[in-house]
Amino acid sequence: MRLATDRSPGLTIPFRYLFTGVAVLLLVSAGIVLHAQALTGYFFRSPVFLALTHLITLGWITLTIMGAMFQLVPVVTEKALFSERVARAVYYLYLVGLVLLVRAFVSDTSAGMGAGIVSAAIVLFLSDIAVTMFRRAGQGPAVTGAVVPSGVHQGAVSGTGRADLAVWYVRAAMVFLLMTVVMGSLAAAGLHRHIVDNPLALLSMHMTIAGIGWVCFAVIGFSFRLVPMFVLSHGYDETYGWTSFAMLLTGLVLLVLHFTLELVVPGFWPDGTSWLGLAGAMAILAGIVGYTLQMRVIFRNRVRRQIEPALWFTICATAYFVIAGAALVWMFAFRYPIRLGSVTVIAGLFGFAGMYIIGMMHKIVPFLHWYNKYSSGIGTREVPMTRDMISGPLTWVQLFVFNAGMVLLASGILTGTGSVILVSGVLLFSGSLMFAWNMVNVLRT
Amino acid sequence: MVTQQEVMKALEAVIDPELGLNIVEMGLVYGVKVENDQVHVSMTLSARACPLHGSMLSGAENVIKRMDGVKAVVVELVWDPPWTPDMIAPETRKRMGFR
Repeated sequence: MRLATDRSPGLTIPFRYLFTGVAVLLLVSAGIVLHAQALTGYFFRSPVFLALTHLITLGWITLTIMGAMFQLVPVVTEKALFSERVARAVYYLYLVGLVLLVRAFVSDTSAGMGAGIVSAAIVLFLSDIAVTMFRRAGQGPAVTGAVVPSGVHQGAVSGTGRADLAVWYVRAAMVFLLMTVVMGSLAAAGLHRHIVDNPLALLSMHMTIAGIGWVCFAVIGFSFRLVPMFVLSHGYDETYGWTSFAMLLTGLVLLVLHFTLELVVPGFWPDGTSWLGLAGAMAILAGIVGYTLQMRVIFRNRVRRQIEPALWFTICATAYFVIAGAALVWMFAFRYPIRLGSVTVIAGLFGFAGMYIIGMMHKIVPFLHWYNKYSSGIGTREVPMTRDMISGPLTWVQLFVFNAGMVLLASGILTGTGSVILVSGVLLFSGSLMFAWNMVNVLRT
Repeated sequence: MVTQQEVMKALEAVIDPELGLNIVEMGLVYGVKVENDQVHVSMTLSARACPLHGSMLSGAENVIKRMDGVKAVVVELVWDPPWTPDMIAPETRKRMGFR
């Protein structure tokens, strides 16, 4: 009898990624406090904005997703991680690259070296995960003829001959991560070596694929796997989830086409309006609505009536996702108001991905630490419950503080008010400190 | 020789740390067979990808191994029928406030 969990990597691998992510979140929120005034203007080429967005996307969100994937992909696929050594090497390589990249943004010098190292680390990460996912199966426990009707969720299942919604999202996210690296390299080359007339179109493509393709698909994939597990939701219909997948993919393709036309035929959208971009944004919003409806189905089907604060983070995250989608449509409908673009990025990255990550970390970190420290004692000695390893009241406080910080940050940027951004930064930093405290305390139990 | 009931009672010590429920009241234990000093348990898990479940199986094995009169334990993992929350004991559902 062998279990997938026997094949998951040592705890130090996911934990180094997850905890470094927490540290980067502290750094980012401190950065908002220190540079509040710099965030009131036009950002996209500003050193502070570039440094902070890359710290959020690469340093916090991507690092956390990487750690979660190194842990969960072997568990879900029931195959051992292809190489733990690669997973360790990726961590150090990635960090070095990230530090060089952010330093280059801050000092407004060439980011080529840092971006190259980060890209190499990402390619190694993707290779390790892809080989793990697609290596020969047959090492998992026997499936004794479970019959699962198509489109109906029966818990986290693999090997039942049925398409797995969460796995499809994660696979797509991996492809988009690779595309993000390629587009980022092209955009950087375009900006510095002037190889294209409109490098901003390449940059927009890079941001779109990174934000929607990589971050959103990965987070959605994880949420479709983890949320039902934690609220005990089974036997529900997944039609909304599949519809969401199709709509998000369609929207992404349309947006990439829109930017491609802008790149290849300068002035293709002369007055700044684009029906193609608007159609893409509307498809994305439809995908987000599909995701929201699927989450509603999951929650309505839950057995555990009480919703813990960690799960409230995921509910808030979904609300921010809807706001980000609506802001995206607004942006394309009304000729790219730049501040609204920033609000879209904040609602999507900090609000959706960030809130989701914070919520799930409150469940995953105690889970993994418990497994590492107490699982051998189960049934033979008294072991704590995972809920005893985290402070519930502190998690509630965090929920309110992060929400207040998020709303103020978006408002401050939308209105260009430095003092509001400063207050939001203080709130986000306080929330991050509480979050870090809660996480570190798990390790003390 | 231990009895089926004694084995089931012993398995109540194996608690899911996330839910705070033991594997018997969760309905994860599908069957117990006792032949002389050998115990065979067939059980399932609530989801295939749950990271904690390795410990549930080894926990079941450990508690039975510690029973007097048991020399060999086989804990077989099965997926048919798939577990659903309906398998949680009705009194447990009520106590936990589950739907």
